Amino acid sequence: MIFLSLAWKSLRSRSLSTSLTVLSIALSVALLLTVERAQRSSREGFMSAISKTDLIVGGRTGPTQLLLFSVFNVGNATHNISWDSYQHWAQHPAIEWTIPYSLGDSHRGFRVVATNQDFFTHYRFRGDRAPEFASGVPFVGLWDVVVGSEVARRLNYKTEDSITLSHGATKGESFQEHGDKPFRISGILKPTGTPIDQSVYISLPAMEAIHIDWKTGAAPTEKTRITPDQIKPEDLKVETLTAFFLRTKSRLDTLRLQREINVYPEEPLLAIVPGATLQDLWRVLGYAERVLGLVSILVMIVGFSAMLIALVTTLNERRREMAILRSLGAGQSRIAGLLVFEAGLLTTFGVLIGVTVNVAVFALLAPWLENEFGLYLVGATFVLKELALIGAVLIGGILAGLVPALKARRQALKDGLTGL
Amino acid sequence: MALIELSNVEFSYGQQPVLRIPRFTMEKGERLFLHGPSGSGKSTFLEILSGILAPQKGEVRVLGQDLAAMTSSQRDRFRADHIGSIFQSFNLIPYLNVRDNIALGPAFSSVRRKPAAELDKERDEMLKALGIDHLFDRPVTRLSVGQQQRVAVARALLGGPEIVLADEPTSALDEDHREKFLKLLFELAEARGTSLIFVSHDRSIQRLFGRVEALSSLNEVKA
Repeated sequence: MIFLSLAWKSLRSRSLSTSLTVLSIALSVALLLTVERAQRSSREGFMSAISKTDLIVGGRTGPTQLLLFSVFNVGNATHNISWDSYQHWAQHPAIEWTIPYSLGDSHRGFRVVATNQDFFTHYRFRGDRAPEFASGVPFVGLWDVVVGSEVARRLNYKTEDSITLSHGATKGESFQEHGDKPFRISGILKPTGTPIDQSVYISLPAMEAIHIDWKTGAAPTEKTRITPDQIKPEDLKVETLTAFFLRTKSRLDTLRLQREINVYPEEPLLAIVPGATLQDLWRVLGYAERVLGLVSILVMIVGFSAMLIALVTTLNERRREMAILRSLGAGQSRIAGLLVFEAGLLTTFGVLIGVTVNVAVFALLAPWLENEFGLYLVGATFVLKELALIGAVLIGGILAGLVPALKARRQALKDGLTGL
Repeated sequence: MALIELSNVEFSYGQQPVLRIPRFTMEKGERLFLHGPSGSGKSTFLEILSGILAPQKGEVRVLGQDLAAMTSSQRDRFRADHIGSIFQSFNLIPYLNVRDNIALGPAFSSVRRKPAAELDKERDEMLKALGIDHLFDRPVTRLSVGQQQRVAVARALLGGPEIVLADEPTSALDEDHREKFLKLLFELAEARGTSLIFVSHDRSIQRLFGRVEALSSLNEVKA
C-alpha cells in the first residue's frame, strides 16, 4: 500500500517531531485512561464495600457519619446503642440476621471491631463475597483476635502471634495501651479490597474484658488493675454496641422497618439503607473525580494540539513534496488523505503506547495504590466506556488531521507543479 | 490523430490573462523544444497539458481526450497514466531512497503499473543506462544534482508514459553534463515511443531537438 509506506517513511524521516508527537498523545491517552480506571476502581470499591445488608443501625447521628464509621473505619460514633435495644430488634420477626459492632479501640492505627460469629457468617461485600480465612480460624477464646489481610501484611503478622490493643481509635495520638491484656491471633483474613482488610476483629466479651478495669473512664491504676486470669466470664456483660447491620427476611420490609427503628421510643436510633447513603456520599466525593476527568480531557486536547502544531509547521517544508506527488497523478484529495492518514498513524501509535503505559503503570503500581490509598483495582482492565474513549481519541486524531490536510489541499491547488 | 491538440485555449489567473493559444499540435514521437523568457507562461502551459490546471476556455486534446472537459480527479488519473514530469530541481521525495522514488512513477496509475518483475527489470535497465545503478539504495539527499536529475528521468519514464514534460531540467547542470543528460533522456524516451516537450530559456541546447517553438509565437497574450 503506497499510502502506508509514504506516510510511514515521511513520519520516520521526521523522527524527532514524530516521536515527540506520539509521546504527547501517548501520555494524554495514558492519563485519560488512568484517571478513568482509578475513578472506576475507587467507585466500585467504594460502592461494593458492603452488600446484602439492608439496614445499618446506630445511635442517633448523621446517615453519612453512621456509614463512615460502621463500614469505612472513618470517624467516631457519638452515641451508642444499648444491648437491650439491640436484643429487641435482633429478635424482630422481620429480621433474618444481624451483626453487632462495637468500636472504639485500635491496634497500631487499625480499627478494632468487636463483633460475634455472625460477622463471619453473614457479612457480605462485592455481591455475595464473604470474609474468608487465609489462615487460622475465627476467634474462639476470649483472647483470640482475627486480623485483616492488610494488617497482617503491614505488620508482618502470622497466626499465634501475640498483640496488644490500644485505647481510642484515632490515628497518630499517643495511645494508652491495653498492654496487660495481650491477644493471640487466631486467624488472618484473605484480602477483600474493602475496609475489612484494615480491621482487627475481637469478640464482644473481649471488648468488655479489656475495659473491665476502665469503669471510671480512665486507665486503671496499679491498685484497680484486673489481670486477665482474674476475669471471670460471668463478669463480662455486654451493655452497649456502636452499631449493627441487619438483613430483612423480605426486602419489602426494609423501608417499613427503617421507619420503625427511627421512631423507636425506647432509644433514639438511626437506621440507614447503605446503598442509598453510599450513593449520596459518592455524589459529594464524585465532584473531585469529575474535575479530574475534565482535566484529563483537556490534557488530551493539548496532546492533539501538539500533533496539529507538528503537522502544520512541517507543511511549508513539504510543499515541494506535495507538488511532486501531484505531478505523479496524486489528486488533491489523495494528498489531503495522506496527511489525514499520517495524523491517524500518529494517533494510533500514541493510543497503543498510551494503553500499554496505562496497563503497565497499573500493573506496577497496584501494590503501592493498595498500600497507600486502599485503592483496589477491581473490575475489568477496560470497560465499554474506556473503549469508547479510545475510539473517540482515534476519531479526534483523524479530525485534527483534517486541518493540515485541508491546508495542504489548498496549497497544492495554488502551487501546481512549480511548488515553491 | 495528433498526440496533443490545443484549440482556442484561454487561461488567466483571476483577471490576469496568461495564455491565449488559438492552436497548437504535436505528433507522436516528436521532441519539442519550447523556449521563452521566465514569466512568459511556460510552466502554466505545462500545467495545462498535464491537467493540473484547467483552462477557462478551449479544448486540450491529449491522446484524443479533452482534458478541459474532465473533472479534476479524472485529469489526475489521466496524468498518472500517460504523463511523466521532470522539474528544474528538487524532483525527488527527500525521505525516500532512489528505489522508492523511482517506484513512485507508475504508483498512482493502473496503466503504467505493470507486474512488479517487469517494472523491476525495466527500472534496472534504465538505471544502468543512466549510470546510476550503484546508487540504488542510497537516500536521495546524498546524491549530486546530476544524479538526482537522472533518478527523475527514470521515474518519469518507468512504465512508458506517452508524454514526458520537462521544465528546465538541465538548468542546474553544467554544459558537459547537459548534453550527456539530454542524450540519455532522448534514448530512453525513444525506446518507449515517448514524446517529449522540453521547456527552457536556454537556447544553447535547442539544436538537439527535432522541433523548436517560441511560446511567444503560440501565445497571443504578450507579457
